[in-house]
Amino acid sequence: MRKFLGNYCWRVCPHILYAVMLILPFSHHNAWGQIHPMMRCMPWYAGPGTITSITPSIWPAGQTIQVTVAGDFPYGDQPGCELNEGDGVWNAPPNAGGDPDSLVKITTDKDGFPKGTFSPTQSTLTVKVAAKHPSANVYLVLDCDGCEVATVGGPVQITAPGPTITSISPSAWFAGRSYDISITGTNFLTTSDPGGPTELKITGPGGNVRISNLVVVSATQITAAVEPAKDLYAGMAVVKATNPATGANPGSGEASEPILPKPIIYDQDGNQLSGDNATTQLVVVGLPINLNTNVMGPPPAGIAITQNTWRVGGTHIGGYDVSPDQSSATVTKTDTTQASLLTHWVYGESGVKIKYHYCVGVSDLTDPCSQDAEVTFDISGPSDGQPTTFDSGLFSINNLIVNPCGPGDLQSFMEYGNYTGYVSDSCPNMGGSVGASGISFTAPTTSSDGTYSFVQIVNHDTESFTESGGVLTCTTASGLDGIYPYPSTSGTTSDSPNVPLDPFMKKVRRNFAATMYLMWTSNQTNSIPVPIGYQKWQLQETSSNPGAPTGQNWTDPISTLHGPNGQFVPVDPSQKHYGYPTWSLKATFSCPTTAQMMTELESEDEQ
Amino acid sequence: MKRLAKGLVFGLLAISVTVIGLKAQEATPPRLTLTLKVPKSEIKLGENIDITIKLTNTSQEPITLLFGNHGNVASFYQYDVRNENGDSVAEVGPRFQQLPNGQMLQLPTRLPGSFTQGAIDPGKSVTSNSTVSDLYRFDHPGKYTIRVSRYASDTAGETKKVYSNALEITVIPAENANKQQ
Repeated sequence: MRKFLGNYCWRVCPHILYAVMLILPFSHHNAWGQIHPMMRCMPWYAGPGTITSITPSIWPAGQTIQVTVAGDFPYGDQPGCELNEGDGVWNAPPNAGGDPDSLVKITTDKDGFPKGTFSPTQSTLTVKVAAKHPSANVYLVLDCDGCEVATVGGPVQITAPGPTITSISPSAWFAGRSYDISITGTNFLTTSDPGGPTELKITGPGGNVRISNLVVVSATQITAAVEPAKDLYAGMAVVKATNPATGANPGSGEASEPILPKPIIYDQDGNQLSGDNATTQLVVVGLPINLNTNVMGPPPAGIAITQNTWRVGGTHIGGYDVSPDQSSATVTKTDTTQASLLTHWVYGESGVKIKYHYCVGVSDLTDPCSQDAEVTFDISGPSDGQPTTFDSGLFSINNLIVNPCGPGDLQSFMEYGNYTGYVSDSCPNMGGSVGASGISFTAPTTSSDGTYSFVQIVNHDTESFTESGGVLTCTTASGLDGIYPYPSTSGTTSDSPNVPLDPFMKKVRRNFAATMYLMWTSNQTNSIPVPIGYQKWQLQETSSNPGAPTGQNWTDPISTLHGPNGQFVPVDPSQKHYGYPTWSLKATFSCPTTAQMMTELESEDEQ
Repeated sequence: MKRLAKGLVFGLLAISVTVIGLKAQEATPPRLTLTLKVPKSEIKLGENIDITIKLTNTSQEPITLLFGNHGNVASFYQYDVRNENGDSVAEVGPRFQQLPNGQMLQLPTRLPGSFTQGAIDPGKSVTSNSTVSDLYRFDHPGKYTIRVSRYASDTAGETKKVYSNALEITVIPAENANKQQ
């Protein structure tokens, strides 16, 4: 083996002449032009040097590394000389049965000289480690020509990069579903690669993810079928690709995969209602049904819940909201777009289901919505009780005290029932008596763990007053009766419609129909009134005054209709449109408007 | 001295009785409260003026009362309506309607309605609606004050009354309202 001086072969260069003498007969190069332009390096004395350190001592596969070699090279074994057979990187020292490592190259110039800086004590080299080089220990061997002993440095550790995962498709998985996935990354080992194939393991939050049909397609792609366990909770699964330590690119690469949990429905106390061991829940109409789900908290990183959907069976409402002035009662729809649900059932029914699912904004999921969580309810009413309706059948001409507040100043009324002697709006309280009401409704007396109330809706109401000049007809628009809720005494409420009678009237008629709803409200907090049922009722009465227009001699009222109109109708799902009292207006009397009357009076004054 | 002593004794007695009386009066909390509300405090001239009367039982016992309405006015309440000068506002009084044939018809002195007797449970309320403009003449723009009262019970001879808050409304000219719109 021949050695040639490089830029820094100064330790041997004092012997240039000797070198020239020796080199010519033995050189493989037969012309100076083939020799390094600086000088050829010849050993002054063939013998082993020492390599005290090689820096860095770890060489990553696939990289070009500048290496500093320190030591003592008195015999021309410094690395600046031309590399010949035997020089280089070996997988083991030559005397230990090693071989040159073909996957590690020392970078040379076109003349075969190593690129770098060189001196007898420290030199730099550039080595290029092939990407496919497995992890191993290697040695730098500077073979001393003629001395039969090589200068060996090392070992140096070559580290091969493990696999990396850059993306997983689809980019999120629902627990309990199966997916064909594709993993993109680097340094995966196929079955044909040393140590291959790459192994895959996935650990989910709260459980495992089953893997099947694993195929390492290439160094950059793995495909598999995965099935995250159904009880995984929201979080990140750890996807780990591992190359065996004995093969190429040993090590492992990890990535996180969002797990979207199977929805679970809980009650407001945190008890799980849905799932394999779910039982039918027993509830009562009007009670608040508060449900939550396990997706109430923040979703896994990078995932946005785009839609919550509740499907509630039976007839349910979000709430019964009476406006401050009772001019309207609204029954709001249940908001089924939130992660929590609040609703109230109106009617009793068995086997009613509530289902919930959610959807996420993951574009590469074929079905971005979860499966349903489901709870079954049996809804019962408070009891089978129904109100007792009492029709007095009594039509009276009664006298009530009116202005100017003296006991003798009476106003006559034709009345369904018998109320007499009560105060007017502006008189002292003169007392009076309450006789039979026209109609009364008594709530069930059975215990119901709640309270009863009444709400009356006027269906139609027409009064006609026949005078000498004609007939004045006044009407009341359909809507809520004047008071809400209808006050009741000991669970009983009543109504006694009346019509005022004046001397100038010849005849008075009233045609009235209303629906009285019996409502029940559970004692449980936040319950709403729900209808037990309703009773329609009516009256048509007439009385005449032969003494008109100055006297009053009213005939006994004649009624063509009075009392209940049909039976009490318990609410059930078949009467959805009639079971719940709602209104958008008060029952407003119009006959005629004040403004009209004022205008008319003013015109009269002007005339 | 004796006279002075007697006078002192009577005086102290009188004071004591007065104090006891006052204490007794103070010790009787109102059993009912009345609250007036109006959907909007600014109303165009000629519009209906609707108020809501909320009667609440603040006692520990149910209170039985009469309820009702005549026309759109809640019965069993006394209405006190005053204008910006503090003068009582006139009631509408006799009212007439002119028929298409030119004849005038007189409306009933009071309008049709209903009576019912009921109880308000402790802590509960009953609300009644009243269109006070059906009773009183809000015939010019300005500020009006409405107050409502009712007897504390329907027992004959009852003298105690319950008074509501004073509700102030502003009647604005119809043309101003149009401009604002």
